[in-house]
Amino acid sequence: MAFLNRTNQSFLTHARLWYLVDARDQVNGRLAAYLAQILRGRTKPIYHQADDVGDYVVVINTRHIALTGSKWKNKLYRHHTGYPGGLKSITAKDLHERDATRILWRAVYGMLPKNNLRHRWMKRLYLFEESEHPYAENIFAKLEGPAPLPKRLEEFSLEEIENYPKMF
Amino acid sequence: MVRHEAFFARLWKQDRLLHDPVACGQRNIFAELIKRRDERNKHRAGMVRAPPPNRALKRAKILALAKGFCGRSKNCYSIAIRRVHKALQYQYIGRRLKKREMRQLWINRINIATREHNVNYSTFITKMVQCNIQLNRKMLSELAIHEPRSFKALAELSKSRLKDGLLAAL
Repeated sequence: MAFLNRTNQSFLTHARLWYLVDARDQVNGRLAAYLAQILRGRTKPIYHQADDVGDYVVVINTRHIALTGSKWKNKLYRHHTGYPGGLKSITAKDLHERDATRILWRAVYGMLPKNNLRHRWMKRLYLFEESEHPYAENIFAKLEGPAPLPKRLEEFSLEEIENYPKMF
Repeated sequence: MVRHEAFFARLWKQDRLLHDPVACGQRNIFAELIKRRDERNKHRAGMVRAPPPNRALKRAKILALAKGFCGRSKNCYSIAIRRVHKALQYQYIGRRLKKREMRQLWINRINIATREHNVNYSTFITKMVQCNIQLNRKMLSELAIHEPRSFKALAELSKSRLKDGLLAAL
């Protein structure tokens, strides 16, 4: 009956892991889609749609998240208060100023399937505006964001800029 | 915790006892009803026509199937018979759907596991067939969960075969 304690033998497969993701310069929607997959457990071979097998995700630097196009100015986040004429709306920029984790939270929440597990999945998502967070000892691995970041101009040293091949 | 055969034998025994009314000290209603029917029909032995159906037995059978249903469906015969017929239809469908859904799940899991090793499901399974590795999807998904290293070897094999295939084409 050696097969009965296989679950204990493959401990890491069955464990809930904690991941750290840096949201700096990541595009909001793409990052949210990536996070939703991890929260649902779509990255684990024990995945089952009715089981709650997802991992924990800690996201830092949500204040520095990116929106494409003119979404900061034009994208509206709407909700209804329940009273007549109670449709409130707020632009992405204003919402981000009020709470810098809210835009990413809304995006992930909207991308998860609408069922009773959604609140449990969302509870495993920890969002932090800056790079400080209290879960450092839980973190199993740091994940790269879905978009590889290009090197910024200020990150190049003066020497590299001078030696860069130029037409003129 | 390592569980031995004796543990499971004990569990099964408990389970059997729970579902056996006589063992639980309850009346065996089916046996009583059948006995009563036989006594009532004793004088009919050797007659050509069948005896009339035993209504109480018929009801007991249906209500036994309706055990655990919601509301009056479990107590009231006229409602129970409808729900039981529908439940049996659902069971018939469910037994067939189960096979499809399990296969979907295995494929899903294999796809997740292979992508960990940068191979997609389609390539992986094609290479398994080409290498004549006759593991079915159920066993491949089991390997992915419980024997990740064996599964990794298979994934690496499929990757190397893919490379060979490309080289051969050139």
